Amino acid sequence: MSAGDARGESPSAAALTFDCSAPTLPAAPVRRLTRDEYSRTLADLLGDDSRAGDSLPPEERGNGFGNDGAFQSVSVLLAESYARLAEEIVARATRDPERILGLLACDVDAEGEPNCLGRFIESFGARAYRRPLELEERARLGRVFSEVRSYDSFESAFRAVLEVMLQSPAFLYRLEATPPEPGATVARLGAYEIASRLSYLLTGSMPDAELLRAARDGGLESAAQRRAQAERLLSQPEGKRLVQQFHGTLFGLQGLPNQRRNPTEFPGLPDALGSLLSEETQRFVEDVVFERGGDLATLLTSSETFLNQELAEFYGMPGVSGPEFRPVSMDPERRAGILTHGSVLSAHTPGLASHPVLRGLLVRRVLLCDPPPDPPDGINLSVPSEPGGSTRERYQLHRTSALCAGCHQYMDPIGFGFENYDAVGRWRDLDNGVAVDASGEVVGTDVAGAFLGPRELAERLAGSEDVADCYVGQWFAYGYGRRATPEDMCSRDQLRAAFRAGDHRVKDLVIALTETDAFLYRRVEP
Amino acid sequence: MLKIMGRRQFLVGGSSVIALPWLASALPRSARAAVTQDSCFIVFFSPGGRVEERWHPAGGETNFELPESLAPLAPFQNELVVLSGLALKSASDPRNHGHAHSRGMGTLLTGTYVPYGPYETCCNDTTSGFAAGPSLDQVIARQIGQSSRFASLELAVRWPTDERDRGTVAPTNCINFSSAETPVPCETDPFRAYTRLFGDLTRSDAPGESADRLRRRRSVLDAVQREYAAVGPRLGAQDRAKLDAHLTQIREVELRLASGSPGYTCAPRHPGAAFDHTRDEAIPQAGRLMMDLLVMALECGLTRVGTLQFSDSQAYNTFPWLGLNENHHYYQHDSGFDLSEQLALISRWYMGELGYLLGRLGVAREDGSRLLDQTLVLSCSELSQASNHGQANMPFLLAGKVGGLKGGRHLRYPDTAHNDLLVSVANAFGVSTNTFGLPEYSSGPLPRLFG
Repeated sequence: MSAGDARGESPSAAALTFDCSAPTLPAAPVRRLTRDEYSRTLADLLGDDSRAGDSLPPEERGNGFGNDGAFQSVSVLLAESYARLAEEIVARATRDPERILGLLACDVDAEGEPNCLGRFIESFGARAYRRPLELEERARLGRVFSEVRSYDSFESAFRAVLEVMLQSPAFLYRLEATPPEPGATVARLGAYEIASRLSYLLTGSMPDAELLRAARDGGLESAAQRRAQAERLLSQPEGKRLVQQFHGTLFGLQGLPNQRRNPTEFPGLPDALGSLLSEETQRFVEDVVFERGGDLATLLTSSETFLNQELAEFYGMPGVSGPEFRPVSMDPERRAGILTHGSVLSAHTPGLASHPVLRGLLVRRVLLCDPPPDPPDGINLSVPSEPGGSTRERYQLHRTSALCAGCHQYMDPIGFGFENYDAVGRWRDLDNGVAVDASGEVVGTDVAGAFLGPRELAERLAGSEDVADCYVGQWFAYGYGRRATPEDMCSRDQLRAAFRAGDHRVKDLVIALTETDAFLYRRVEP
Repeated sequence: MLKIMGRRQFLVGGSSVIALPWLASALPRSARAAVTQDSCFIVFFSPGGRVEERWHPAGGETNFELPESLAPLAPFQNELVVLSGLALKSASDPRNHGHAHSRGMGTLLTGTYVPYGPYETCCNDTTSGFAAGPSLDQVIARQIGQSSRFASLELAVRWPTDERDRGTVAPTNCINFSSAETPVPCETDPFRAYTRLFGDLTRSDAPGESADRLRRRRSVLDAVQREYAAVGPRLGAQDRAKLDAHLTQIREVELRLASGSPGYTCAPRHPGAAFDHTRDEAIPQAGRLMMDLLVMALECGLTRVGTLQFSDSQAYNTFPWLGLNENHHYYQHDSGFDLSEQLALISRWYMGELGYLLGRLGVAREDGSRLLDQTLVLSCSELSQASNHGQANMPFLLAGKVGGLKGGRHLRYPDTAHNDLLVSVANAFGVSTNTFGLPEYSSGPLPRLFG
């Protein structure tokens, strides 16, 4: 499952207080580039569009977003993959003399191998390592060149230098080593370290030329300068993609394009339904967050979306023709926010029938950060299969059996609010011949109480402080590549305050991620 | 098919490499004996347990019929030992955290428990770490695999299936652990696996070129190691340990290089045209390709220990070739309804694929010997009964001849901790121990299992 309890504060932590006048934060482990970051970095660095990272061993799940530094392990398979990929990528980038010349930007015949190579290591290295190289680093790279050159061609030795760079910890890891003030245990990050954090947080790749220049020229010293850079990065296509990716992961949509439905049970569905639904939600998220400057409530309640003809026919919306997606206003009684998108409904409904348990669990886990415990061992999870009747009737045992109800009261009654949607997310008024009853209830949290139908639930969630806090926690986990700890309380409070001050605008929250102690400092470990 | 002559071929001289039927060894008799006198170990994992009354045989120890789920194994009945009664007791030890699926995965081959940790294990805020000890295959690899090019090989067919997590290493999908809390990830791409295994053998380089490439690779890896060594001192203890671990793995890669061209001959068959092996429809094809690769790697002496995971314990893959279009987990219990018929179909299919593997291992070589006779296959799952996450009466099954295993038997060990099975198998490979995993669940090797 995807992102889970992101509140991450143990009950005892509530009793702790922190003085937020000085930076307070836990030690955060060094992060290796994720597969996605590795691919994108190589695209930016060498123009390699092969999505090289896809062939690396998968990431540890960690914080639910697959980018948790604390739990990145190294296997021999990983080390071997890096070596193999470095050879392949470098071979592609240097496959003809023009390319080598383009990288070197130096006339070897005129200037000599050592000069050209020295300049290359300095200039290319500063991009690969995302900071200027130190003297010893340049010397070490020169040494591998000389070594290979002693028995092989210039090209081969040149490639060897590149291969070493692409396997170096300075490339693969986001190393942060700027020392603290004498005696201090918290260090302010150096300018290049800030540039990397900004860039990987907001674009998922290495800093671009402008950001590296800003780091060099003192252009990231003030909060205003950093904010301007953050806003610039977030407004780029990569920034938008990242916001989409966050929501796609949060709502568990990654596997949707591969979801297939049994054509005999679901005749007439578009072939690529999963991809179309996924596209709808991505466009919706981008529109809400970037075009409308929208807030969390808009994400959760808006009926404005994007459809093409195939998808409009799926939803039963007339008047949309052609393969292009375009803005469509849905019936607000039937579609209210991202939870009512076919993508989210379908992704959390395996099988033939609507699934109130999984749909309720989604809301509980992702938006309320308050999931119920796992089913206890030894409990038979399969209620007897009885054909016929409505979904609500078929899940009756979860209410009537005290054994089940203890946990299912937290899930099923929320899920019943979505009973107007079939397994793939189409609206229905009848369920197996029975009129749909979409009344539901949230137990616990600040949205506790009965509700009727998805719109009322969405509006309730949209006004909830618990939901807003949970959403902040999810961004924290994703943005910092770790779960929040009690020592992050000051940063969490900063984020909450910024989110509230910005009327829960998503963009403001993302920018605020670059302004916390957790972002600007690191705890120095002995 | 490419024909490769390795060092040993030249040493023994003469005998030509002929275009062989799949898998038959190219080695002349004398040389092959040197390679094949060694025993091999294979773990075959399929998730989600079985339907009890359709899997465990009725009848006597040697006088029994294979029930419905095991029927595809009928040709191998005399090579099999079906086990009943064993329980994953250490998975219920109070020290465990996490969901039954991940506890099953973590304890299956380790006999330990799954400690507290940060990984989400299923559906909610229950989190866990990885298993608290090394797995049987890794322990055996340390015993018998150290001179192989690959101490062990971990292959998976459709893994991980939880795409909502974008494919991550998690307690729900790992069964191999090199030590406590250290999962070993699987190779999931059969074509990449082929290149990794045989790439250096099959390139048609000019003579001498491969030695140069080796030398150059060593130069590069030496330089990479210097980078890791240089950066360590500037980091805090934890980060330093992490980069040290990375450095250790790079050394391992270099050691493999140092072993140079492998001292054997074999004629690997290329996997053929590429296809999208990540689709559920491709599982049967990809599975057989992976099994072919595994057997070929054993036959070529590249490794002696292998794991084949068909899927992980999330088992979000479907079985369209069986007419089952929902995912396995749905049939297990996500539907909320009893779907035993479908589960039995899936279980039977997996056992059929085990039959394919045994068939490959059982191909007679020129001299009549068989890889199966020097191999032990352990088939297992992380659950016994899916509907209630049961972990009693687990569906373990052994095949092969290592340790004097006598097939054609159904052995019952009522309510016995599976740690004793792990002890028995470890013993069969020369690991001398009376406990495996948590000692309080070990009482020594299972009586009467090995000869």
